[in-house]
Amino acid sequence: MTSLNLNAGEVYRVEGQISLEIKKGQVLITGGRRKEGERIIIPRAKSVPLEAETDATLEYSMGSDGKVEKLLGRTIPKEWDALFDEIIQKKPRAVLVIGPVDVGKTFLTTYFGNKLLNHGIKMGAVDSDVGQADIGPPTTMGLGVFEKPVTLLFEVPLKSAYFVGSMSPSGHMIEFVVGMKCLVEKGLKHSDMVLVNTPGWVSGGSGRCLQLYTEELVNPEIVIALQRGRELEHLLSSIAPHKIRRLPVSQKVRQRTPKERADLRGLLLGKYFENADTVALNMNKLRFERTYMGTGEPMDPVQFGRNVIYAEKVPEGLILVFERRPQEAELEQLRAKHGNLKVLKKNMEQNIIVGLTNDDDELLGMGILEKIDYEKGKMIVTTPVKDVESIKIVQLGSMKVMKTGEEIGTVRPGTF
Amino acid sequence: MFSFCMTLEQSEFQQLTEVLIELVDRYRGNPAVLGAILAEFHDIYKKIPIYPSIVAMCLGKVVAAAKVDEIQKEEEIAVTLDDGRTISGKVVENNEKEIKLAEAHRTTFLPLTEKVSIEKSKIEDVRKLVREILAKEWPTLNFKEG
Repeated sequence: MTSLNLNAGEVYRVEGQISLEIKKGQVLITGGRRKEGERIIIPRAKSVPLEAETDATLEYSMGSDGKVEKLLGRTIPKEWDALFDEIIQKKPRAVLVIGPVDVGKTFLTTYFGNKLLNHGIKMGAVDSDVGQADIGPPTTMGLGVFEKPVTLLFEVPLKSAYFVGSMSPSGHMIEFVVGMKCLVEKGLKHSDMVLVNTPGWVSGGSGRCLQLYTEELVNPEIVIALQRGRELEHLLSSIAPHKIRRLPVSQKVRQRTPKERADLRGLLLGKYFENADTVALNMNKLRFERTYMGTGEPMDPVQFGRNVIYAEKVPEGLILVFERRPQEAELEQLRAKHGNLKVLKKNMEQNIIVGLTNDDDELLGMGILEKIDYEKGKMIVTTPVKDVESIKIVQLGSMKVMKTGEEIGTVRPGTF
Repeated sequence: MFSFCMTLEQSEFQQLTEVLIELVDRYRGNPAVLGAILAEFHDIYKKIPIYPSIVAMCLGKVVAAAKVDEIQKEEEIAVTLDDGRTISGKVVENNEKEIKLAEAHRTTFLPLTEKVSIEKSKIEDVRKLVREILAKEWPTLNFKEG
């Protein structure tokens, strides 16, 4: 163990992996007040600011990548603290944070959540970075409430989650904004203020829509625009000026490569499914969401040929599941007789990520669809959800993943 | 102070469609290039149907400008000759006078000025081509190009 004496006002950057204990005094870690006797672990590749509120003594031990570096001054821009004072004074109910990727939106959320807690204000955080949400597993948006100070956002306990079904809002815009609204409403019931952390997709028609309609729907009193230069000005021109607070990016924000992001997603997803079991769900007792299948009138598949193992009539046409890939001539005949066909092949569903919810539309967890046994009416799913009886609704996503967290493909929304 | 109301594309499929239209317009007379674009479109879209903007971005890179003398071995090229023929294939040699191709295909897209007779016994497959399908199927949407 190494001992470190700090004078009040001194600032350090602490990089994991490191385990530290406060032996004397009081420090702020990511804005959260930590007192004598508290032990904090900072994982590898993560770094946090540590500020001594009083004279303090720390003891720490660290791994080979760990680092404790004394800084010349605070890394948090003064504009952040000015905005924080305004929030304390005005007590807004909803605050939206927008910014491109890697500008420190997650850090800002953690910092504000901790600092508000120091003032007795409980903040809810909606994390909508579906690719690698800190609150909630990947492919979901999560709501967490700051009950105690945290070092990193992922330590905030999950209160509720909404299944989007993809690693990006692309093609899932409606799920995204509906989920956002649901989580903000829930968050306001459990906390004094909700801070919404939006994804870094800020340009292009879809990116603009995503940000601006979210802003319109959530209707926050304050919109925090976190930008290095003028990357958000095109969005801000459509937002009421009195709501906007432009903030500079905190120093030391680390930019991740797409590969690092994908690896991290895999790691988080693999961890999520670590203790998953494979269970058989009775399809007759389930409802399906975000699918055509399961919403129509089942039909006897035999009438459509020996190759068809499942048939269902929906307003859009006929859903047919084939044992083997059908010949074009076979399909042409069926189309001539029955009109529009939605053609599926047995096992196409393998590895699709699914959301599993109860009758109250609360997400219980996620699963990986292993197989649909059409003959027995069973859906085989690998999931960490233990209370299988509570699963009433299956929501299909558009990613294919392995239990290890590896992404192995995508599925066009509307395929099933 | 005023702001514009939004009428933005809410799906990236619009961008993908526009990229495809642009590529078809640009390479209308070059079946080899169009074939490569469509083959890539098919393969990429099958893999990532949920990311149409990435499909669009990739399609824009399928065809690249090239200088005859800088073409390397193993590269796939499509060459338009001065008589209108298009030859495509993989480069096996590029010397001072000629480029040698393997896995080569020749395609022509030359309008014929005379009437053409086709012996029925030689026809393997025939398809009807229905033009102006939008006007027939959905006349109320058959707007003038704007």
